[in-house]
Amino acid sequence: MRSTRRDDEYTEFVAARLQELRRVAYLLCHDWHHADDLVQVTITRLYVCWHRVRDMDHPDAYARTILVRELLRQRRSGWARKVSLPGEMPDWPGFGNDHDDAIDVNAALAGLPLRQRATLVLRFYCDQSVDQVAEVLGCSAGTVKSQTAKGLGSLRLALVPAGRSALPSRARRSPGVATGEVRDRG
Amino acid sequence: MDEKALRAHFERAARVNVPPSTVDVARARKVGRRRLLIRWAGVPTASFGAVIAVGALFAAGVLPTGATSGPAVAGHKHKVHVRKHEHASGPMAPVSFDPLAIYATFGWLPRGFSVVNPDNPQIATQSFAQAEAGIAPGSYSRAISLTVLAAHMCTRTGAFVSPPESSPPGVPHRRHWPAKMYSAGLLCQWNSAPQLTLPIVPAGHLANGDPAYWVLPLPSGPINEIAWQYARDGWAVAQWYGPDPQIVKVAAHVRLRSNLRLRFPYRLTGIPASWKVISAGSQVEGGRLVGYDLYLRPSQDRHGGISIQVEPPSLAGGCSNIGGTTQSVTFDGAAGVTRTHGQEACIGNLHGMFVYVSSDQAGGALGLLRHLHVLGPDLANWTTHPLG
Repeated sequence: MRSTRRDDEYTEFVAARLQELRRVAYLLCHDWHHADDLVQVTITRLYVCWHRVRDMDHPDAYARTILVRELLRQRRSGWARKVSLPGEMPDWPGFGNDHDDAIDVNAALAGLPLRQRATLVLRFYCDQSVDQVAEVLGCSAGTVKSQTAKGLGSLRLALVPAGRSALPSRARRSPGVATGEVRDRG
Repeated sequence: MDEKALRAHFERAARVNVPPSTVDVARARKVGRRRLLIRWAGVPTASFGAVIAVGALFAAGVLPTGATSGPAVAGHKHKVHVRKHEHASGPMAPVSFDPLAIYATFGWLPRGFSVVNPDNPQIATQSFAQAEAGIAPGSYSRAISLTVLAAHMCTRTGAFVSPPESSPPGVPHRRHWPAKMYSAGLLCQWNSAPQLTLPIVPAGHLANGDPAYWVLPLPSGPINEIAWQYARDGWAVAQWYGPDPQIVKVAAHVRLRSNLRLRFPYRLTGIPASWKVISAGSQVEGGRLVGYDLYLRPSQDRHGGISIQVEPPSLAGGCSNIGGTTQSVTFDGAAGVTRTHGQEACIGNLHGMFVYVSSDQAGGALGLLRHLHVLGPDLANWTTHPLG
């Protein structure tokens, strides 16, 4: 099939950003297979709206927005994806000497609600500002800030040394943030 | 775990043992190109070139032929019929919802299901209302999510003819997929997200007479969805995970327009009349759906504003791990912290409740707290009018 200028531009853009999109997707869903599915959906939608994307100031940010919102949309229907079923260990990478610590962090991240995890990934991996994250998630800047605080707090709580576990310890949404009082109990 | 450590962890996690990519860019172009062609072909005033493109797809056997239903395509020899105005004479959908009221509730749920605390709270905005139910609190192997959208949030697109890419998992046995069925598109604005077109096929009518459609599942499935038109220009979508929870009956019994007001554990005074409630979060507490989270902003602003979260203290309670640079404060005799130059404040236990507020307005978070009257943990004291 004759290749068009549109196709060339699109292919060049996607090829240059594919690995980064995969990384962001993986950090969000902790599953490379699912991450690749997510990226596939994302770049397909990018093609459909390429005529707009190519003229944007921040096309990378737009691609990430599609990716995150697609995962959130899937999440509204696929609750079981985010739950580590008893006895099942997700596909986590090893980190050599920090293997056990890394597994704990991954388990803690996997135990966060998806929006909190997405907030942390966007803020601390993609280095997006609070306002940018609010735009992606369709919420207020205040909510982003509180979700960030809750996410970090939950991670700290989950990584408390006493009773260290490789599986997420939370079984329900935690309305508050972790505290020093928990460490005192431990 | 602080921000720096988390950044380092993310960097490592994303680059260790990365498997080869299975993303197919060529396939993305191919599928994207087909969607573009079909979108153009569905428009009644489609250009001659687009119509020819659709004709070429038919000739190549990509699209089903011999269809007896579907939208009209100008110039195509197959005359098809589309039901464009199923609710032409019925009531209009609300142009906006009141986030402080429950607009949509489940009128019937299968045995074992109940409205539960999802990981993400139920959010009501001016554009959509959500409700969620599961087989048991904390268990998500079987769950139902309901989203009701306000008027003008969804539109039927022109038909595109795309057979399911795979057998829909979890589809009730009574459904079938005759090759002659055309699918149409439902283009919805989900919470200001990029517009998303859901491929839909007719599913007849619900018991209450609403026209319904199955949403074709994504290749990555299993995602099961049914959409129905509950009013003129008003759509609802129910999604479920696990075996079919008699979703058609669930959908038919959804109660709309209840406008039951949420009970909040606080009152907020001094809010100018020109401000708008953008969203409210609710959750199950004491067996009832109650409000706890509010986001308001001046009507002329697109960003910023104030947000309030007041809820019973969790096992974690407190604010000492809120993160970032904090300053200790005492408010109304209760210990707390502020951060972000006073724009956020957290009080672990204020009159028996956990309080977290943020404000980019003059006076900051502490100024906001002075207008917040916490009503304590007793639901009997909570109010359905949290503003004023």
